[in-house]
Amino acid sequence: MILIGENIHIIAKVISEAVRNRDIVPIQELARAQARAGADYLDLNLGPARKDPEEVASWLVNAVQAVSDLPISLDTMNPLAMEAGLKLCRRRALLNSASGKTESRERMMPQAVKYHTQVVISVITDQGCPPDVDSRVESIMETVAYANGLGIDNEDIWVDPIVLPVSADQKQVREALEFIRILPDLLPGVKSVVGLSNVSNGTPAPLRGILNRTYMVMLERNGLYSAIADVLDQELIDLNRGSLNDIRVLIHRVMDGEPVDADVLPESEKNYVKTARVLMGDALYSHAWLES
Amino acid sequence: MEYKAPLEKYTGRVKEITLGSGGKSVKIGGSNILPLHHFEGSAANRPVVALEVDDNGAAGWAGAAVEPFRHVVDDPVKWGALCLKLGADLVCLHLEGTDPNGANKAPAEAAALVKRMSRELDAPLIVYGCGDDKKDVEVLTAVAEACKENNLLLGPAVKENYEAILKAVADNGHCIIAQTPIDINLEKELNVKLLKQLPPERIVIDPLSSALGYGMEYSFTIMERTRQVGVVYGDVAMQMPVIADLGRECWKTNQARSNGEQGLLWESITALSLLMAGADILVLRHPENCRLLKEAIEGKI
Repeated sequence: MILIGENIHIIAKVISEAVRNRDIVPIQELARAQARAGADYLDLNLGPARKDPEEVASWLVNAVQAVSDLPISLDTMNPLAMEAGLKLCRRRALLNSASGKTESRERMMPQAVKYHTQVVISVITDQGCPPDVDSRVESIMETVAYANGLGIDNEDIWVDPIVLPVSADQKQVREALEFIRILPDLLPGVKSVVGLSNVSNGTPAPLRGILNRTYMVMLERNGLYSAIADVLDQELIDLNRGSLNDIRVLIHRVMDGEPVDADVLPESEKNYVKTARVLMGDALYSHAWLES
Repeated sequence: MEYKAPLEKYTGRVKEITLGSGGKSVKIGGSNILPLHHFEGSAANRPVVALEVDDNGAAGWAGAAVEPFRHVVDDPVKWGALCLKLGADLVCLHLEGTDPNGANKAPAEAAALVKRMSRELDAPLIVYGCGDDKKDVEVLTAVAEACKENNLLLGPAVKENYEAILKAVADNGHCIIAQTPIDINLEKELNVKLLKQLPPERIVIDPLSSALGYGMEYSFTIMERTRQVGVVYGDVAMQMPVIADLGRECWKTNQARSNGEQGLLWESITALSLLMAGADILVLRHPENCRLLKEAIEGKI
């Protein structure tokens, strides 16, 4: 699976300070670290970029490209920042992201054509995030048809089903999983992408990794093409490279509803089984899910 | 051929809990069915009704809720006895008088009162602290130690203070009220923590009961899901009986305060709804509603 390194993110304090002070050092350190860890793309998340959007985007893209040859996933809802950044990308960029929202159709998608980028298109519309598989399907079919009309091919579209936190709405975890499974039949040729760490948003920090990793294995099994993820998590990288096969098999067995006797397993494997059960909706989530 | 209605078979069963000791105990929980679905299996014990008693002279209570007890509100023992005479299965004492922002009564005073009530009343006691999580630790610890042999139902144990209250309850042979703010995930988390030191047969879930018009549907949903997760899905961390401490919520609404008749309706409709959602203990304020709910539980209405 293609991994897009998520760590240059404006919500992180070190990044927001670096951007404010135009301090190139922390940005370049994180770019190098993610490249070393094995990222395929680097996500540069600027958020809404309300202040000096064009200047900030240009500065950030240049700072990263000075130390890394990886292609960039430019992540902002500000069309001005997006355009300023895309202009400078040396390799074919990923526009992250467009959606079915009117503003996005009018101001983001045309940039994907103009700058010949690949583009993330999420299931979000002016009505918000669709609540189940059927409504996600309905929304994405319409939005992708619109993108095709602008001249964007399915092969350049990375569909994002929108992953929601298991701590907030456990049912949604499975809806996104199921959506990924049926996507190739709906829209042949499209790729798929998720914001993986969002599944563990709201969960105590030391417990987030296992949720992210387990969900990655589950999504990958259902055909996921790529994930924006914490590539500095070595175990996540290992799982993505196909090692830790015992864990992968256990997660698959839970997905298939096979009986798994977790009590006889070593602690680390037991925790993956418990986590997979929570993500499948077989067990009710609580922050203490590994303790019960 | 005779028609046989298809019946669901569930894997889980709510734990049966005994409150009180000796000749005056009450059993709750124990069912392996959805609330009131008597056709599905066995509800070992029917839900019970408690009437609320206050250690602070019913200060701040709506007039209509005080009326049936107006001669006894200054004596919680007599008040409790009247509750039982009027049909309550058990008495729920709220130690509002210990509130540091109010009368700020000492833990020892509260403990002495609970001890006296346990001795003189012919039913088990539920005891709630004032809700200040620091003061509750002191008060409930004193109560737990003073009433070692009485097997009280004590709480609320909340995220902020459960460790200390759990210890007082576990060391002195009582049952604990696990309270969380209308959130199924936090509810399970607290249960998991409590279960490390207490068997499920000594835990009662309080998911918080909002009044009609003030979020009752949220409480309803949480109670309903608690039972489904415990009984239908067999989640052992969710197989404890539920207490709906709703009287106080209903009688503090503007609707109840402005009109006694309305207050009665507010309390009865909230109670009937939460009964259907799966509450095993209903805590009410008005004896008229105690009678009504008992009739409903016995299937007479």
